[in-house]
Amino acid sequence: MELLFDFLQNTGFGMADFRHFVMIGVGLIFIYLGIAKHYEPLLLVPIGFGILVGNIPVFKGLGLGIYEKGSVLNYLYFGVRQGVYPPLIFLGIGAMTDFSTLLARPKLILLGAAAQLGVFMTFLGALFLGFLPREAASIGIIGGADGPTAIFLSAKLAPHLVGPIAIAAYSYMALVPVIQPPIMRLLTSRQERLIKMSDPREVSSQEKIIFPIVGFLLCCFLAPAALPLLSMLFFGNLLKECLVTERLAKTARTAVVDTVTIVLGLTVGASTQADVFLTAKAIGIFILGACSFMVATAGGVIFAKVMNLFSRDKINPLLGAAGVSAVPDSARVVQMVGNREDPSNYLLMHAMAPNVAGVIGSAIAAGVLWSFIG
Amino acid sequence: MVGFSAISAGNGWLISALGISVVFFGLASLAFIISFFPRAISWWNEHAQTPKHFLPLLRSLFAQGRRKALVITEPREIHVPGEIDDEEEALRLLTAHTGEPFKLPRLIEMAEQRGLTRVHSTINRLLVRGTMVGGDDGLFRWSKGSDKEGPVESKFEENK
Repeated sequence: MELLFDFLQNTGFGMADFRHFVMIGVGLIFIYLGIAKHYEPLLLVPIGFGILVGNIPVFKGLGLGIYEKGSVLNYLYFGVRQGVYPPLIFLGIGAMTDFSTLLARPKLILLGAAAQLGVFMTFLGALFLGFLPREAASIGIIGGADGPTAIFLSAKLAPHLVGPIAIAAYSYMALVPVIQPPIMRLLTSRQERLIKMSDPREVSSQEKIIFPIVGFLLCCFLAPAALPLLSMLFFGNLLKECLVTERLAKTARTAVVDTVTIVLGLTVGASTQADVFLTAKAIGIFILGACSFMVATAGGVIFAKVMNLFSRDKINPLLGAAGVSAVPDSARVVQMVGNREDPSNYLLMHAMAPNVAGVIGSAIAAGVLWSFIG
Repeated sequence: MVGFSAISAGNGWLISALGISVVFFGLASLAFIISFFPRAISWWNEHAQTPKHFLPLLRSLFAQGRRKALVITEPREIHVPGEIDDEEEALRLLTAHTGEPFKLPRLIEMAEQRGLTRVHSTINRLLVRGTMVGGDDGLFRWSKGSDKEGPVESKFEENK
């Protein structure tokens, strides 16, 4: 009988407390949102399952937990801790991104820059609430709406907050169709939403080859701390556009990015444990994350309106919301909101320009924050 | 510490102002440079791709120094400009720099770096014609009879 009692005490049921069950509930909700609601399933399903994995009560010292040296999860978590996985994801993103709309209308790049206002305003807000500068910078980058960038920077500056920051970032990226439209409608008039953009010019293959090289050199000379992310992004894009390395580009945008996404999602989820997630800090992160997306959207839309004051060729200010680099969801939201006003107004391809510019902008912002605070 | 004093203590204002400025400056510079791409590429396509434009450059790079005066002596065959194989001449100029015998992969690499087109097919043609020959040592040479300044009929002869 005593033996049975000892056995039961050493099971997960015996070692669990209510916080484990709360976190398992959070994991199940993420899996549900990913599978049933199709909210960023490629990320929420691995993260949700990772939360389940990381919150099973285990014996300390047996090399089972993610934070225990020598455990399998610990080895896999190395890529998150050392910032290896996000650059590899950027390699795949570069290999699947078409920058031609950005090349056709370069001034839309500025909308991607304007949306990074969300990063720095959230940074200030986090400092205001009492977070340390390193923590505030990691929280601020949620406003860049770029999961790999957020994980990369928080792994460098505030590794204990990687879990809540990653979950906040990916959750709000999935909620972009809910967060952005009210702000877009509030800040624009009907007349502005009806602006039709002229068709972009044809972009030659030579331009698409030169762009990643020039973009990489310019951005990394300006913000060398962004080198790990931007080098991989532009390298992946060069592999895609030069046409002589199609095999490598295909591998980068399929096998590499899928493998890294699986491992990254699983380990980030597993690292999100009750003692970090169920705290006032995590609640603050979630509130600030929501604010960062709203400020970023507003920043992009308002900047587009300012640009229209000085430009003969008017920009539909809804495109400013696409500067939030949740690719391609925020571009789709712009298309949806514009379409509601005028079903013949196709804004999606125009919105891809600030959308992909926002990816570059958020990586530069992360590099700048890392170099100032790291 | 919370509030505005926390922001000041963490240099928040300065970091935010500098950070957004750097991001804006970087992306604005990128946009500015991108706007010149179409013009730069059309200039390149018009002016910089023809191999003939590289020949004067190669000549000036590999010139031996002393100009050799031409003296009328015996009749000699003159190559009419229309018959000169520009690609062969470019390769000869490159091998004048490396010396003979030369390694073929190195010659190909140098030719491609200098923007010469159809290098492989040119070399194939020269090998088939016997203008360029390979030795047992794996190195290549220009065949004796193919030398443009070689013993052929010409009105002119270079002063040594």
